[in-house]
Formats: sequence, C-alpha cells, structure tokens
Amino acid sequence: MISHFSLPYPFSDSNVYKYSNNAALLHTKNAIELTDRYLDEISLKRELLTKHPERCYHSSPHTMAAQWEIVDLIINNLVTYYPDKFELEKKDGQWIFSNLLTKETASFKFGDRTTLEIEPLDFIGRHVQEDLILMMQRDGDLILDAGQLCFPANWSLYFNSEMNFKEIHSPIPGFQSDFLVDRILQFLMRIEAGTPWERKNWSLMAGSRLDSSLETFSEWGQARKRVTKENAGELVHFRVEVQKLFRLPKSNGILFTIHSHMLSLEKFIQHTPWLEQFYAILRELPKAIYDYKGISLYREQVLDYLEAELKKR
Amino acid sequence: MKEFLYTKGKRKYIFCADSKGAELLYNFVQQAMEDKVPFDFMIIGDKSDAFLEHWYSQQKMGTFLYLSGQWEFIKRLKKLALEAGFSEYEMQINIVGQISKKLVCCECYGVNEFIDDDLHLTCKHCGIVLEVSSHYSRRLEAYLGYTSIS
Ligand code: HEM
Ligand SMILES: [Zn+2]
Repeated sequence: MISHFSLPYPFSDSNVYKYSNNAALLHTKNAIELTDRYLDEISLKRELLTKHPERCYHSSPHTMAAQWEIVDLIINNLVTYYPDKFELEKKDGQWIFSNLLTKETASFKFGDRTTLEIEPLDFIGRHVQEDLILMMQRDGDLILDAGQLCFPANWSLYFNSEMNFKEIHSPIPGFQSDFLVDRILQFLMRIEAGTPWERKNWSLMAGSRLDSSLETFSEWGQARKRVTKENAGELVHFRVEVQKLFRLPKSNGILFTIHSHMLSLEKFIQHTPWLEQFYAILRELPKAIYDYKGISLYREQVLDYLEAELKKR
Repeated sequence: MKEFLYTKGKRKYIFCADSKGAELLYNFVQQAMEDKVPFDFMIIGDKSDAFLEHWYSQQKMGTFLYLSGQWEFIKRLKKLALEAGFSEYEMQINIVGQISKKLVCCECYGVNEFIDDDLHLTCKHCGIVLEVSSHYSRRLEAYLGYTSIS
C-alpha cells in the first residue's frame, strides 16, 4: 500500500503559500528517482511518445552535444544509485547499457547519433520516470531547446519550444512583477556544474491522470465538475513535482528534470499535520493562484471535505 | 500606438507603403521636399525579400523609416528592417485596416486568424472553442488558444 510518506511534501513551515524562489541545494546530487510505479510509468511514457511524438518530444538540431551529456549524466546516476537495477559497460568507446527492470540492453557508440535509433535525450528519457527539459544558455538567457515531456501539468511542449525563460513563465499571475522572474533567471544562470538544485511545485488534480497535457485538457479537465464534498477524498489528488536543475559542463546547458508524484487526498490527509497545514494554505490561497492552478471550480468542495476531516481528529 | 507624425531633422527619410497605405505618406513626402532632405519613396508591390534586404542595408546611420500599409505588409517590412539593423526608434508605422493575429489551437495545433477584440473563436480545423490568450510563441509567430470545459 502507498503510504503518505511516499509523497515529497512541498510546504515549508509557513501556512501562507506565495510564489518565490524556493530552490534549495540538492545534497544527494541524484537526478533520478525510482518509485514502485516505475514499470507502469515507463510503459505509459513510451506509449505516449509513440502515439503523440509531436506533443511529447521536441529538439533543435544544435542540441546533440548537450543531449549526449544528459545521457552521460543520467546513466552515471542510474548505475551509481541503483547498481542492482542498471549496468554500464564501456569498451573502446562502445557503451553497453542494461536496464535489468525492463530486461533491455542497448549498445551504442557514445557521441555517435547514428548508433541509436532515436535521439539521445529521447532514448534515455524512456528509462526514467522524470520528464527531461534541456535549457540552452545564450545571450544572457535560457532557451527551451529540447525536451521529452509526457506528464505536464497542463502546458504544451510543442507551444513552449524555443521560448526563453520569461516567455515560458508569462502565463503565471504576478510573476512578472517584483522582478521575481528576473531574479530566478539570474539565479539559474549562475548554477555551476557539480552543484545541482531542487525545488517542489504542487497542485491539485481532479482525477489521477499523469498525462495531464494541455492538448487533452478537454478530456481530463471534465472531472473538475464532478468533485463533491463526499467524493473529494477519492477523486481529488495532491500532485507534487520534484524539479531538479543540473549545469551541463561542456555545452553550458541546464538539465531540468520533473518527477511528478500523486496521492489521493484521502491518503494525503492520513497524516494529520499535513491535513492541518494544507487546509490552512488552501483557505488563504490568493484567488489569482488557485485560478491559475485550475482549482477554482472545486476549491469549496475540497475545503468542506478537509474541514469535516479535521473535526473527526 | 504612437501617433503617426512627421519628425523633422533626420538625415534621410524612407517612405514605404503598400497600395492601401501610400496616400497617408504624400504629406510627408511633400514636407521632406520642402525641407530639402534626401528621401526615398517606394510603393512596394511584389518586391522580393532579397531586394528589400539589400535596399535597407544600403542605408546610412540616421536614416528614418516610415511604413504604412496593411498588417501583413507591415509585419514583413518591419521584420526585414530590424534584421537590417534599424531599431524600433528609427521607424514609425501606420497600420491600415485590422490587425489580424494568429492563434494556435492547443488541441490540434491548427492555426486560426483573429482580430484584437476577439476573446473566443471556434477552431476552423477541429471545431473546439478557443479562448484567446496573451501567451505568445515567436517560433510559431502565434498566440496560444486554450480550451475550456464549460
Ligand atoms: C529552468 C527550467 C524551468 C522550466 C523549463 C520551467 C517551466 C515551467 C512551465 C512550462 C510552467 C507552466 C507555465 C504555464 O502555465 O504555461 C512553469 C510554472 C512555474 N514555474 Fe517554472 N520552469 C523552470 C524553472 C523554474 C524555477 C527555477 C522556478 C522557481 C524558483 C520556477 C517557478 C515556477 C512557478 C512558481 C510556476 C507556477 C506553478 C504553479 O503555480 O502551479 N520555474 N514553469
Ligand atoms: Zn483545433
């Protein structure tokens, strides 16, 4: 059974949530994390990539060197942190990578695109639960030049491709003011190789679909209308994205990884401190933020549910 | 948009129009003649990008550019001028008629035209209703159209 502890908790001590630069040093330095949902999510990812390549993958031609750096970083990561699940053998420039969970072995010449059937970023992304975004740094800006994205929280890789950091974040309310977006960009451009960072983003989701793409919103968004005080615990899910940032030393790009975790509200609130804090945060959340996060239609129902649960403790 | 006015004291003027925008420039041409300042006046029919690029790049510092015409014409000539090294401060534009912009459908990626006052439109490719947003992609040269569930 999945306990509430399997979910990374996104809030600090404060009962007021506002947008800020909430990135912290990633001490463990691991880009990739495997959960007990690994095989299911990998096969869902591969199915989406096959059926909807234009939606789930994009790359600019000049990203090949950076893509290989990502392959290097992630494979290294996998064999270091999960040596019983992944193996790598190197022989005269030839890499033999084995995934013992999917029982696959891939053999390729590192740096030689022709020895892989698909692009390097697409290849390695099919072995991890994380979505992978490559931001290239040029002219004092970060540009979304490549990405493999299967589990977006209601945004479109196709539309956002080749945008800079500010353009990507322009739909977020209040982000342009206070120079918040400028300060975050400056922070990102100073990230150094070997010193990765991590942040968490959260949202609510009516339903439990991981592939909540903007392209399919008219399908999965309907569930928002069905939320009641009675079914909220089961239907509504708390969603957390663990996002990590790595400088790629050779290409000077940044790898941005997104691992999406989800837990039903009824499991989430088993832990009373979480119930108490989340109730307080949701009650005080500014309208602009809950509108943006897509919670408006069912926020009252969720608050009623949480309040009733609080009374039982 | 700024008022479309003749600015005195430039080193040279370029007046560029399509057939719909030319009339508005006649007074300016007159003014430049009176001031005895050099100018070019051109009504662009089917001049190629290569021709315009070359012509723009021949211009010296201090040259001021006026563009007058329909939205598609303005977009094309302004883009070429910026690429040739003109800045936004060295030109004035006058748009004749409506400004039509592009909206990408978030479901089928089809491109639709819209005008400034539109808040919603029906995608002509897949039939869903799209909400016009200010989220803009320079790659697609288009705004994003969101679906709604209501
Ligand atoms: C460099 C890699 C990053 C990429 C590619 C990225 C991309 C995105 C995208 C696509 C969205 C959704 C926008 C939409 O609705 O269309 C978003 C939202 C957001 N991003 Fe980023 N982001 C990055 C880094 C960061 C960092 C470092 C921060 C803050 C320290 C940040 C803060 C936010 C916030 C607060 C939201 C709104 C999320 C919500 O309320 O649910 N992002 N980001
Ligand atoms: Zn459409």
